[in-house]
Formats: sequence, C-alpha cells, structure tokens
Amino acid sequence: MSAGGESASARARAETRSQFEAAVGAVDRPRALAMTGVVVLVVSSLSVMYRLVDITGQPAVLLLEVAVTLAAATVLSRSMRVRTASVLAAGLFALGLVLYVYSLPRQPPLGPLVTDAVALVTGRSLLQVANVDLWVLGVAPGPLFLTWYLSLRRHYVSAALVGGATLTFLVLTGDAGSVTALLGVVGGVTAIGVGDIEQRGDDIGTAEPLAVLLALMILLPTFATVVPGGPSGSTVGLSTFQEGGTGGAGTVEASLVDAGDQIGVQGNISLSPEARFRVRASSESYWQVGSFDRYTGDGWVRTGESRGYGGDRLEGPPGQSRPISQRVTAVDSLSIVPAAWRPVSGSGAGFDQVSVTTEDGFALGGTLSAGDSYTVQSQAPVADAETLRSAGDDYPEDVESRYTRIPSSTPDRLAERTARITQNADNAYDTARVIERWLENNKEYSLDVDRPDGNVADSFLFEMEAGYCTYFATTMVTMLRSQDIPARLAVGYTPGERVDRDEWVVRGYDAHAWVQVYFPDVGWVRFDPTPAAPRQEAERSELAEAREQNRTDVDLNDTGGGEWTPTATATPAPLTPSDEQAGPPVDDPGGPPTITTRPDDVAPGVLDRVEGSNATAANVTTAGTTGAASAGGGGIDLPSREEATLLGIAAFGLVLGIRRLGAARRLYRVIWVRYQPRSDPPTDAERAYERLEYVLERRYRPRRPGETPRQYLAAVGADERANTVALIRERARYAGEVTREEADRAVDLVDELVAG
Amino acid sequence: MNLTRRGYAVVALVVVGEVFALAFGAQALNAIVAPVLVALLGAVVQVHRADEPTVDRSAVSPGFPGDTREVSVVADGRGVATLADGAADGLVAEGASDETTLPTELGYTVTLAERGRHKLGPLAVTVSDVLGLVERRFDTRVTTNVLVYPSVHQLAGRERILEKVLDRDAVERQEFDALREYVPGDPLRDVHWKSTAKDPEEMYVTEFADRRIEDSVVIAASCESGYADEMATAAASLAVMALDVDVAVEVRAPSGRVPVGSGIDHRDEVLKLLALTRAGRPAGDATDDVDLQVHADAGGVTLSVGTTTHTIEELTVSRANPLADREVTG
Repeated sequence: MSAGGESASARARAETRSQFEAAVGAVDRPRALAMTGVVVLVVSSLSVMYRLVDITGQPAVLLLEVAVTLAAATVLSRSMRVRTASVLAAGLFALGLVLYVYSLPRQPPLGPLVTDAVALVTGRSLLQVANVDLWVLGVAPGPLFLTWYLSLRRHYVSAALVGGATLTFLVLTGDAGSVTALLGVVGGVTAIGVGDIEQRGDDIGTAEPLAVLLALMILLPTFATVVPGGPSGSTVGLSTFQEGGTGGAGTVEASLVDAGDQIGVQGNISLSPEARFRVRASSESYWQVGSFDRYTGDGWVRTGESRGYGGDRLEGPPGQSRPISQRVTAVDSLSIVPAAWRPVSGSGAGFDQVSVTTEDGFALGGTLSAGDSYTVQSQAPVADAETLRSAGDDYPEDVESRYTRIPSSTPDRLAERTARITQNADNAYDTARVIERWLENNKEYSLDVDRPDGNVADSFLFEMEAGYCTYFATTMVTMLRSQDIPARLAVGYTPGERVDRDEWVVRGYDAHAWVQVYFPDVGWVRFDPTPAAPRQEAERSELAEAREQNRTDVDLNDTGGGEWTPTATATPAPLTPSDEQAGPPVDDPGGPPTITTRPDDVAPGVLDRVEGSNATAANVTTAGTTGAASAGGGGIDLPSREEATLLGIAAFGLVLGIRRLGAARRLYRVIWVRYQPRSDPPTDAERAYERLEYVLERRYRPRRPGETPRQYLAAVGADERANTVALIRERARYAGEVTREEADRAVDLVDELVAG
Repeated sequence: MNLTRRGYAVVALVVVGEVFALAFGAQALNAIVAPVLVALLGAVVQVHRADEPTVDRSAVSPGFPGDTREVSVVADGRGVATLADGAADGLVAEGASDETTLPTELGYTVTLAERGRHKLGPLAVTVSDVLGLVERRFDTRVTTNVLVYPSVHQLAGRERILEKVLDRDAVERQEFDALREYVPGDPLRDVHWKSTAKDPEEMYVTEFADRRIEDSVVIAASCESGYADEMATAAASLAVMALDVDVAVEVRAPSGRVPVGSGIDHRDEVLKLLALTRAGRPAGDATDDVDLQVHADAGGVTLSVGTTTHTIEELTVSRANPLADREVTG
C-alpha cells in the first residue's frame, strides 16, 4: 500500500542491523549495554568507598555488604514497587547514618552533625572523618540498592541520577579523582542513552552517535578545564588529567608544611632557599608544625577536628620533660606555628586565631606578616635509652587504635621484611633504632624521584633506591606500625642555620618530615631516618646557587657567616634532649595526665575545620592520579586501569565517528587523486584516465552510462591534455600497445590537470 | 530548537557545578561538568544539523463510515524522533504516534467516521539528540486525502420503485437479436424462459442489439441544511440498488451531477459525488424527467416516485452495507 519509500528505509535498517549484529538474540543487547553503564557508574563510586575502607578498616566487609545489597535488589526488583523501594533505600541510608553516629565514642548533638555534613559537601575529605569505615559501611547500601533496583526496572534515568548523586558527593568531598569521576559519567550517560534506545525498542545500531559523543566527552575535557579555580589542564596525556598537577616540581616545604590537614607524597621536588623565620630558643630542636595520624597509602591525613585555644596551659608529655621556650619571628609571611614538641602554651601575634589540633599542636587561623613574632613554651619529653627500652607496650587505647593502622591493601611483605630486619630487637625502642639506621644506610637521598603508583612505603622499601624525607619518614612509620608500634609522621623544620648561641634562621629548605614514636609514660619521641649528610649537601648547594643569583630573600643580616659552633650536629641525634647540653629535666607536675577540658559547644565532631593557610589544593594529590612529571622524571607513566578503559572507549567512539563522516574514504580519495604510484604502462595509463575522469566528474558532471569517453570529453569541453590522456588510454586498452613514455606522459598530464 | 526537561536539568547541573567549584574548589568536578557540557553542545550540534525529514504517506482508498484502513507513513532522516500524524475530524486514527529512530515507518489504523473528504496529516516530527536534551519540531507538509462515501443501506421494494423504468422498457423488449447461453451475472429478466425450459441443461439469455438508453433512472436529491448526510445515504442506497439490477443511473445532487451511466466505475463516481455534496437543491430547473426524488429535512427522508411518496425508513431493510462484501476500490 505504501509508496517505494518503505523498501528504502527497511533496507537501510536491515543494513545497520546486519552490521552490528552477527549473532541471534539482538533483543537483549541494548538492555545489557544499559546495565553495563549502570555497573560502571556504581563501580566508580564503590572504588572510592573501597579505598576509604581499605585505609581505615576491613574492605572484605564492604565487599560482602555490596554483594548482599545487590542480591537483595535483584530479587526484590521483580516484586517490589518503585515507591516502596525508594522508601526502603532512604530508610537504609538513614539507619546507616544513625548507626554510625552511635559508633562514635561521644555522640555529638545535631547541630555539629549538620555542619559537618555541609562541610563534607564543600570539600572536606572523608578521610578526615573518624571511623570513616563505619560511615561508608552504613551509607553505601541505601543508594546502591536503589540504583540497582531502578536499573533492573528499566528506569535508567533515575538509576543514573541516584548513582550519579553518590559519585558527585564523593567528588565534592575530594575523595574521587577526575578519572574515576569521568568513568562514572561515561557509565551514567551510557545508561541513559542506551536505556532510551531500549525503551524505544530500537536496535543497538542506533547507539552509534552515542559512542561518538562519549569519545568527545572523554577527550575534550582533557584539553580544556571548564571549571574555575583549577589549574588549566596540561595537554600531555591522560595521566595529567587531574586536579592538582603542580606545574613544575613543588617544593618540599609546599608539599609538607603548607598543605594543611592532608598531604600527598609527591614526585620530583625541589628546595627553596628563602628565609622563613627566625627562632630564639633555649635549646635547639626541630620546629614542628604538625603531625598526621592516618596513612592513606599515598599520603597522610589528620583526622578529627581542632579546638579553640583559650590561652590556658595545655597538657604536657606523660613522663619527665624539660621546658623549651622559644620566640619565633616571621621573616616571610607565615601561616603556621612552628614550635618544638610538645607545645603547652603560647602567646603573641596570631594567637587570637590559634587552634589546637587533634595532634596536640598549634595551628594558625590567619597569617603572620614579616616581623610578627610569638612565644611558645614547650615541654620536651626526656628519657634515656634504658627508660625507653623498658617502656613496655601497654599503650593507651586511643593511641593504639589511632596510630597503628595501615591500609589493608598494604602488601604483607612489608611487615615480613620489617620483622626480619628487626628480629633481634625485642623492644620498641630498639626496633625503631634498627629501622631508622637501616633506612639511613640502605636508601639514598634524592630529590628526583618518580612518584610510585601503589603504596608509597611498600614501593620505597622494595622498589625504589632513593627518595627524600617524606619517603623515609613514611616508610619508617609504616614499618613500625606493621609491628604494632604506635608511630606518626611529623612535619616541620629542622633547626636551620645557627647564627648565634640561641638563635636560628630557618629557610624553606629546612622543611622536613620525620617520625615520632610513642612510648608509654614518656610520650612522643623523635626519630629521623633521612640520611643527614646528603640532605645538607643538597641544601647547601641550593643556598650557594641562590646566593650566586643575588637573591634578596635568602640571607638576613647575620646569616652567611658560617654556622655558630660548637655543637653543629648534622641531624640531631634521634633521642630527645637528654643527649644535649640543655638543663636538667623537670618533672611534669601531676600524675596521670588530666584531660584538657574541651569547650562544650565544640563537641568532638567528625571533621577538621579549615586550618591555617589551606593553600590551593594544588599540592594535594589524591589516589588514582600520578604526579605531574614535568622536568626530568624518567619514562612515560603508564595509564591506570581506569584511564585505559576511558581511552579504549574514546578510541572506539572516534573510529565510529570517523566512519560516519566517511572521513577516511574522503581522505583516501584526496590522496589517490593527487599521487599515482607507477607500475606497468597499461595500468598507469588506465589509472591516469580514472583520475582524469574523477577530476572532470567533480568539476563538471559524471559521465553518463551510454556516453563514450570521447563524447564525454567533448561534451564537458575538456582541453587538449585531457584528450591526449584519453587517447593514450584508448590505445592501451584496445590496441594493447602503449609505451612507457606515453604512460608517463599521461600521468604527468593528469598531475597537471589535478593541480591546475 | 529548545531544551527538553532533561536539558534544563543538565544546564542546572552545570551551573551548580560551576558554583561549587568556584566556591569550594573541588577540582574533580571538572570531570563531571566538562563532559556534561560537551554532551549538551553535542546535542545542540546534532539537532541543529538535522534536516527536515522527508515524509511519504501511503494512499488511502475510499470507504464507507465504519471502515478501517491501514496507513503507513515513511519518514526519512536521521536521529531520534517522536512522530505524530494528524487526522482531521471525520477520521479517527489509532496509534498514530511513535517514538523511534529515523528512518522509520509508522503504521497505524484509521477509522473512517464521517462522510466527506478528510485530510490525514501532516506528520509532526520532533527530532532530538541521543540523550534527549535538545529537541526541534518539524511540521512537515505532506497530507493525504481520504474520501469517505455516505453510508449505503439496503432498500426493499425495488420493483415498486423501479417499476416505471421496468415498465418502460418492457415495451421495447419485443425485438431481440440473439440468444446466447447464460453467463453468471446476466440479469435474470433477460433470461429467455421459453428456450431455457426446453433445454434441461442450459439457460438462455436474450441479447439485445441496441443499448437500452431508456433503461435508466434519474435520481434527484435535495435537503434542508444540516441533513446532507441523510440525503446522501438515501440517494446512494437508491443508486446502488438500481445499479445492481443493471439500470443506468443519473444522479443530480446539490453539488453537481453525474450523467447517466452504469458499471462499477460509474457507481464509484456516484458515491464520490454524494460523498462530497453539500446541502441544498440541485442546480437547474428540469424536474420533469426526475424519476426518483429524494428529500431530507427535519421530518425525515422522503422518496417520491411519481405521485407516491414513501419514507426511506419504511423502505430500509437493513443498515448493513450491501457493498461490504464486495471490493470497493479506489
């Protein structure tokens, strides 16, 4: 009944179908592809959650929970109505949150909970949440159930929305990297697009434009950052597709001291020779800026929330200690409070905005300008080697739970090797000394490293030959923790250039990371596994170079005259002050440490507030990204699994896109008409004629079926050269005789015609 | 071209993402916002490049009220589209919309409802991109006309109605030319009974030499405004009844006339005239040679045969279409 159009369109569709479906059973393909999209979206969120639980708990539990949730959703998808399922998912979510709150040692009131939730969305990492593994276990099932249920019921858009909301939340907290987020977006878009196809009942061939679109969606953002506040993406490969790739190597100082409440282990790094501050202190010390308790595998995070400082005296170390008083004057602008461990009181510039971190250090809320100064009283723990050896392992519970955990994905070989290295040490102190010495002797110092892909400590111990202070310290802490010895990473400054008996000038390159180990009834004791001589050598050369360049921010009036002697020890001995010539130890008054009262209105919530400088996130790298290996840094970074998946999808889409445009064929034609490879004369003559016809066809009109070449050329009014070529080809074809020269002539003539 | 609901949601997402990134600096947001923006731009480009689809609708053969016809509309083009075919009053289309990918063929059923010429179409095509973010509406122009004849009823009393005609040519039935064997379809009144009775196996039919030009009726139809349907039905029923017994028919309706003729094509012409006729009176004054006068008004439909007047009601045997089981071609 219909006109001839039916056959044409039906033919076209049959062609598409045959191209994309070799096997029978095309009915389920769109659905399978849409479900795959949902799976990719879900997996991207789950990978972030897995990492969080890996760092802080048992990932196997999460996997079990995920399996149960998916199974339940699959089973219930047949029978349960959408509304019921939504209510159930919301209920699971709420239940999980409630259970989490009750798992905290002290349940905070509703207000701080809400502010903490808001803070999460505005960029606080989940790693700073206490008991984040329980949080994840509580929060994961609800949205996962709903996403899977909705996709099984073919509500693909809703499923993508729920899954996307989960992923977006993780992106907002900063725990999901760009590649993970992009993979999730690709999965969600696939689910929506192919889901539409499935609901319309079209066949899978109509998804071609979607594949091309996905390729564009993957590739274009690599080259352009659309979102403000971030560094513009460099165009080198997918592995720089990330936030926070520092252009050029960052400095040690920036990576450690300025980074706020979380630090990432960098790759290449440099030293900065600018003078930062000046300290007048009663004895030499490492000027500590902060410490970190949670190791993520590729960085450190400080959990918990700071509290305000009211000017009162803080708790000192549990055992014997001696006082150190120091006066710090900023030379450059400072947003930190360097002070010897353990600070107990302070006053001066900036102290109206100072807070006390969960690591019992001071943190600055504002910035000190050059010339500002403050004073801090510290009590440094005092113990000799015998005391430390006999300190035992009866750690307070909160210390043990907080400072002995390493990610579950840390390879067992780290603990095994550590055990072997320290097999002759039977107490914590000796273990720490052995590890410290082993690292000093067996690893080289270098600022030029390739940031490893996996666990930093494991890589440094087994694969890397050299590194800088962050690597040494991280590895030592991890090794100690693998032996259940509480240890933490401390960052700050080494003493600096001693310009007078009790005065030091501290420069950028004095920024350092070291280890603190906890001993019962003593407190946190410093160890430093970084080999001192090479570090000082690097610093010296940096300083000399800066002086050569006549930089003005490097030297002050009294620097450059050589170190004040007598005891210019390179690395201060790992043991705290009993080895030095300071005064006699002073007993800390009081027995068991009293808990400093915390202001009531700031109940221990779950998050850290913004600290100090909170420099640009440029220095924070999160998992899944590789460092911006700009200068040096040998080799090409291999793309991660996620990146490889994205590249694969992009390539597939590109190929389809090129096919659709017919670009390949057109390109081939362009080349074909311009260049003719030579073979034997008859073939050459024939090919030359074909090219001629093609050119004339484009220029005038095609040759009609009944038209002879002569008629055609006459009709279009082609010039003498064309006629010659036609003649030569006639001879070749019908008379069978054509010489090499004639064939060449034909080809040359056509080349001329093509060009002109 | 305009944004769909999804499109607005996407724009909102992009805006919120930008705000969040500006305020709080979550860098991985770029990995969400940028691809989504690319998708939106790609959607705009894809829809912008879409050409107006070419539409080809199958022809629909004429029929009677209550008949159904299968319509097939072929739309050529690219992209995802929602199709909706329009139907004028007087036609009832079922399933005339679909959401699919071009090129496609939309098939649906249309029920002819009212007498007259009605339009099918035009096809409204809304093209969108693969993700349904942007859409663009094309109103194509291709329409198809559907002719719906008036209902035809079965009437009784053929002899009485046509008796004048039959009488008239009874006189002229004296001469005949030839005798031939009966062929199914020959009118029974042409059967030569005398010869047939003699032969037990065959039936014989007289074949007249000259055409009987008098063997025709003139039907005139008129009506008050608003009763055209009834008038048309009555006139059509009469015409069909006459044509069935091989009586030629001339029909004069308010909109025109069909000259005398017979056969299936002629019948369709009559039906077409009556399908399209409006209310009123036939043009011209000649009423002398009208054999059957049909008139429809508020009181009903009357048929005047000479001096006798009947109502069509009393003549109607059934409202079932006597032509229903025969092929009515276009």
